[in-house]
Amino acid sequence: MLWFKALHIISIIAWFSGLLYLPRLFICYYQWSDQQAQHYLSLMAYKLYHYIINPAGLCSLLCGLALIDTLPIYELHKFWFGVKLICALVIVMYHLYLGTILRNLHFIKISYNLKFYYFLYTIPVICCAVIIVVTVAKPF
Amino acid sequence: MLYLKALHLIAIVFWFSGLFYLPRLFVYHTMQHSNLMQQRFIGLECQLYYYITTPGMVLTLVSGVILLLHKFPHLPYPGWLIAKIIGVLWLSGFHIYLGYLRRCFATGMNKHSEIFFRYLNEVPTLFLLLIVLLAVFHPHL
Repeated sequence: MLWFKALHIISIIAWFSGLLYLPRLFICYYQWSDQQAQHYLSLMAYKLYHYIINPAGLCSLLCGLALIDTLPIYELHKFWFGVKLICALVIVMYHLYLGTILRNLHFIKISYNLKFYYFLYTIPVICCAVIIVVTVAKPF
Repeated sequence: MLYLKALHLIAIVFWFSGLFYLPRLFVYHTMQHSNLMQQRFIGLECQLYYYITTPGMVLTLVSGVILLLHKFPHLPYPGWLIAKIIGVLWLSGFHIYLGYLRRCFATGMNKHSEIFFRYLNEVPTLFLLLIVLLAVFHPHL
């Protein structure tokens, strides 16, 4: 089971490295309006999403499910576990949402403003902090 | 102390997000030929290095040292811990090397090829594997 734990930690780090950087690429796409730049940015965003974020996210979810199996039953009924599950769900939804933005990258200029993307940043940061704190400290 | 450990893990996530993406930016940077795009990439690299990666490293190292002093107040350290510390020192060296490469790019002095940065991109992955496995398994070394 320690192997699952190690793999879980490693894949989460890879996952969040993508989740934290992808909105930055969207902001660049928003700001750099010439065609050459946008061509590069859509390539970078595509590669980041499909080669890093997707496999790492899948791997951390599967390892996480395997790890739930090792937890004693009374831990599953505690509050921290619920908080962690909800945050994980929010992260998965955020992940899928980034995918929809990626698919509609050409339209994002009309759809959103810049503040929206800066707001997007805060979602993985907050979820990451909450998940790690409740998992390590198990405060409630 | 558990909260400090949580802070340590959060800082690691930020540090590695920079370490993973900075060489990737270098790869794309070497493909750029127009002056405008080069300036844009220099800006991105500068932001990533100074606002995410370096603060991540400082927080990781500071919280790591406090955890170390708290959990292992006396020498000698176990073998896995020494191996982990050596790994972290190498990783910090890699971080500083990335900073040097970033400066080379910013001053237009980069001599390395795209292939070089593609290989460089795999270095933090190796360190991550090594360090996390040591920290989780605590093997007898």
